Amino acid sequence: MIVQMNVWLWSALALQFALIPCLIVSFRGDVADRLVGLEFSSVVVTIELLLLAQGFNHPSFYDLSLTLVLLSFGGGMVFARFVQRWL
Amino acid sequence: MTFHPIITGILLGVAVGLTLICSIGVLVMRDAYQRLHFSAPVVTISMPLIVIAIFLESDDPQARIKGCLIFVLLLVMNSILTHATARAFRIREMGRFDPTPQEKIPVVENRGIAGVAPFGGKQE
Repeated sequence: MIVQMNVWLWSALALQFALIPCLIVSFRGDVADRLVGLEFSSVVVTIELLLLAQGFNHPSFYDLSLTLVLLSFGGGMVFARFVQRWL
Repeated sequence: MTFHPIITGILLGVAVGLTLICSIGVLVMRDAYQRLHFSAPVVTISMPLIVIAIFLESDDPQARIKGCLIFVLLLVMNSILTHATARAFRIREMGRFDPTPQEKIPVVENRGIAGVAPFGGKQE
């Protein structure tokens, strides 16, 4: 499947660069900084999937973004509780 | 001539630019408490701009409804998650969530009502 680049896909491509600071913070910071980097990157990837779904013109791909929102919330809460109690 | 592609491009450009600026903010801030704040502009400003762009671009009701649903879920869950994370960091550092007397936080002290300390702690 060959898809012509459109403004949605260009935006998704540009948004990839927002993950680099999250990566740096997650690799170099302490435990708290890593968790913040993870949470911010989950927000960025959610938007990324939204843009890709619209860019490929497949509304069913929105389910990926929707699923990531729900799972990142649960995962973030678990990590936060883990940091609070055991780390 | 329709202006929708131009408006869509502007909306997406602003949304992506703001997200990039916030990601740089996450990188350069001093500690985790300051870094936590930078997901809020992305969720409250960038996401609505993208949802508006979806409404302009797409006629499919499925895309519109799911875009709105993702925005609302992200708005609610990100705020809850940010608060829970900050609370976890504070308990991890201080051993408790309530402010200690040594911290002398005037706003919290003034909010104590009729012998009941804020946040359910003991009043000094």
